[in-house]
Amino acid sequence: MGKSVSHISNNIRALRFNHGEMTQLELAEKVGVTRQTVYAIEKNKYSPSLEVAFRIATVFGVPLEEVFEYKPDSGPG
Amino acid sequence: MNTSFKENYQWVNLIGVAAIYGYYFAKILPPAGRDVTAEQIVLFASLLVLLVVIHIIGAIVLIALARFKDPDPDERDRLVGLKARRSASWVLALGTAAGMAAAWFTEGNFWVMHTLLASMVLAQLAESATQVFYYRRGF
Repeated sequence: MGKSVSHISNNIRALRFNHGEMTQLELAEKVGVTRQTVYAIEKNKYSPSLEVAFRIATVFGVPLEEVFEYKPDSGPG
Repeated sequence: MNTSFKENYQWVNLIGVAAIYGYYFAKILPPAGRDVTAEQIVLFASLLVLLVVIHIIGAIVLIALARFKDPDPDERDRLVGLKARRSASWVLALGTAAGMAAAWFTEGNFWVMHTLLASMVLAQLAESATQVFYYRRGF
């Protein structure tokens, strides 16, 4: 339980803090998802759809890559 | 608390269904005859009513305890629901095959009826357990 299952990490916690300590509920209401989904995204337990990812970036007024980062498996070579 | 009403309600469903149908199957097995009896039907109907009551009470308690009102299901809820229904459909398909085997190999209607009933119960348990699993572990 609680193990990260995604290669996508995010800075939502820091962005919320920098935007007047926005709560998960406030962000969820602005994005149109449940508070539990914001929690799951923050904890890397759920990778949102592109649309929700863009909506989150729009709420913070930053480009998508400032919210999410993709870390592929480091393969040989 | 980061569990939603939807997740908590699945726990109520899991525990309620397991307890009620567990009791039913414990009472009727081994079978007294080859066919379903009137007493078994009455017992089943009574337990079904009890299960509905448990669900209603569980929902009322969960709503009373909830700090936030759950909004409509979002994309994550819908995905979890789809994964859960896929698990349930596999169990139901296997149960149906078992019911057909029971129809072929046993006399009377007891085993056919109860194999099909068990497969519906197990499918319901699989659906709830899958939802709880994905809500907690993530995907």
